[in-house]
Amino acid sequence: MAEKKFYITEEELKKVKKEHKDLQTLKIIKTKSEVPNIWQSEDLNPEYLSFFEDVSLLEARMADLGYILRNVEIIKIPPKEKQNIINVGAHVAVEVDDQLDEFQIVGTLEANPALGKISNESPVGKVLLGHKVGDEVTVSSPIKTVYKIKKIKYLTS
Amino acid sequence: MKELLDFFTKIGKLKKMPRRGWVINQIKTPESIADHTFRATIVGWVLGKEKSGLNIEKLLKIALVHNLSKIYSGDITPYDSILAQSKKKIKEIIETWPKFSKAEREKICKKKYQREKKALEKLISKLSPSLKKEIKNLWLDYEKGLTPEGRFFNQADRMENFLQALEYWKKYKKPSLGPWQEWAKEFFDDHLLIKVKNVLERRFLNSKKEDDNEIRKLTDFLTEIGRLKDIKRKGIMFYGVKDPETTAEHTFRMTLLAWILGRIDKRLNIEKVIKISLVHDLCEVYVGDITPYDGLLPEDEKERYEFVRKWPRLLKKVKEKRYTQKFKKEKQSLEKLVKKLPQGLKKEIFNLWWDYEIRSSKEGIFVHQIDRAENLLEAFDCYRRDKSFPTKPWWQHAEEVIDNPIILKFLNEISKEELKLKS
Repeated sequence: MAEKKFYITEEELKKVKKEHKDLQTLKIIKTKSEVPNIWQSEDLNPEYLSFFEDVSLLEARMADLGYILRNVEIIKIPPKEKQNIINVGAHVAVEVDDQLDEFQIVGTLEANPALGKISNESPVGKVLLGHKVGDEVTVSSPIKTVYKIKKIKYLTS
Repeated sequence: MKELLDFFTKIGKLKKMPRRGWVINQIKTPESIADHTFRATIVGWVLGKEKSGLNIEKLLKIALVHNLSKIYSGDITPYDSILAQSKKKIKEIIETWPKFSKAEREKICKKKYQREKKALEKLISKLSPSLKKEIKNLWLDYEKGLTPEGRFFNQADRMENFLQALEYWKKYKKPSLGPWQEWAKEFFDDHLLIKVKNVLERRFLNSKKEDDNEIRKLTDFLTEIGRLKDIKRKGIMFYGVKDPETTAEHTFRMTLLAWILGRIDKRLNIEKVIKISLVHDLCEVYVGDITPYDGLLPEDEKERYEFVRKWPRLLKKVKEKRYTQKFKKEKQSLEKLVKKLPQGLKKEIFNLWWDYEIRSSKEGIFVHQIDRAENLLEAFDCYRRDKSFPTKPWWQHAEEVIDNPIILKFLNEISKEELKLKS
């Protein structure tokens, strides 16, 4: 079976790499039973790090991150002539049920619909991909929802 | 997947089944079996963690399945055999704990066991052989006390009953406490649980005697989360549903759904999946259920009627602001709830909740989506009962949130069922 590809932005990749590196450092400290000076570091979230007091949890998270890093696909901003088409990374304004909504299409790892970040593998994300302003796409379940595409934008980070 | 949808639809019935013991004791709006199972599972986990050598994943699973048979067998109480003979004397009967001879007791237990076993077998008959075997073995473990986890949870389950009895007694002066205290004295033999029982008695009877501080903190926590049995899911109330599910009931079925769909994906850590599910709404203890419509509802009744029948559409900046506000409120509520817990447990609960909120692991991402799938299933259950219930907003939300292929397959089954009902 083909490995799953994780679409992530450059910014998110940096975060994942940093987290992986931090956890590697933390693991070395733990196995050496030294005082974890890393906990005093200002750029690390102590709430987050305290989660890894248990080495098995730390190792599980490291395995997770390692798997992601091995199967990562960076979301690249398409060339100007293709920026009129919805791809992963696009910011999209749509009209649904006569109301305006805004999404960003992201990979599954970054998805957070409460913040408007929709996974490219969700039914809504999937159906929007490849479409242009003016197109109307429908998500079919027992309820049919029509999304009218109003605006497509790609932002440089 | 069709078999799983049928299974979870039946599980939903436990949200509507009041605990018979409380009905007999004439408690107003008593807890449901799902409510009880939610807190009993957390009682098992929190107290089980204090014991060394228990397999917590197994204990949690035993807790989640221990009452499934009641869907078909009904809730059988020790009073049933007496009540059948003398319904008129109900008030007299509940003043004492039923006493039976050894032979009578054995006969009653055997009959109850046979009835419940048959009911469980009927419930799981269409499931895959491996799932069927797993559920049945866990249930047997609870019934027969085959392993330390089964034996411990059997008592932890009764501790939840005992705590609920004390809470109802404080609120309604019912049930009569004497028989419960007498029973508890005979029933609990686990060293830790005896201590917990004593602390609970002193707490509810306002005794001035000093408590074991650590156990007092655990019992305070277990008492506080009991509020989730009374927190009604607001999202469903918008549509005139008179008896909406509680947060505890939602969490119970959601946890079971997370475990059983989660076991299909071999990469998931099921213990973590179950724990994240159990804690994901603990933050509601002090802030209640915050819905996506809060603060947006039009004042005009007609407009409001229309507004809640579709998913609220917002600009990205508004979404971000509302998300941050909700997150802050819920985080503060959770921090207040776990503040006094022993350090290890406090961190564990907080970090599991954090994982759910931030989706920092594959388990956190999975449970987040399962939450939405359970909401949709509940909306579909409401639609089955009343065809005017609008499932539209639930579908619209689920289609934005869910991308896990296993959960999407489950949704597809709900879709097929709904279309069948509509045709």
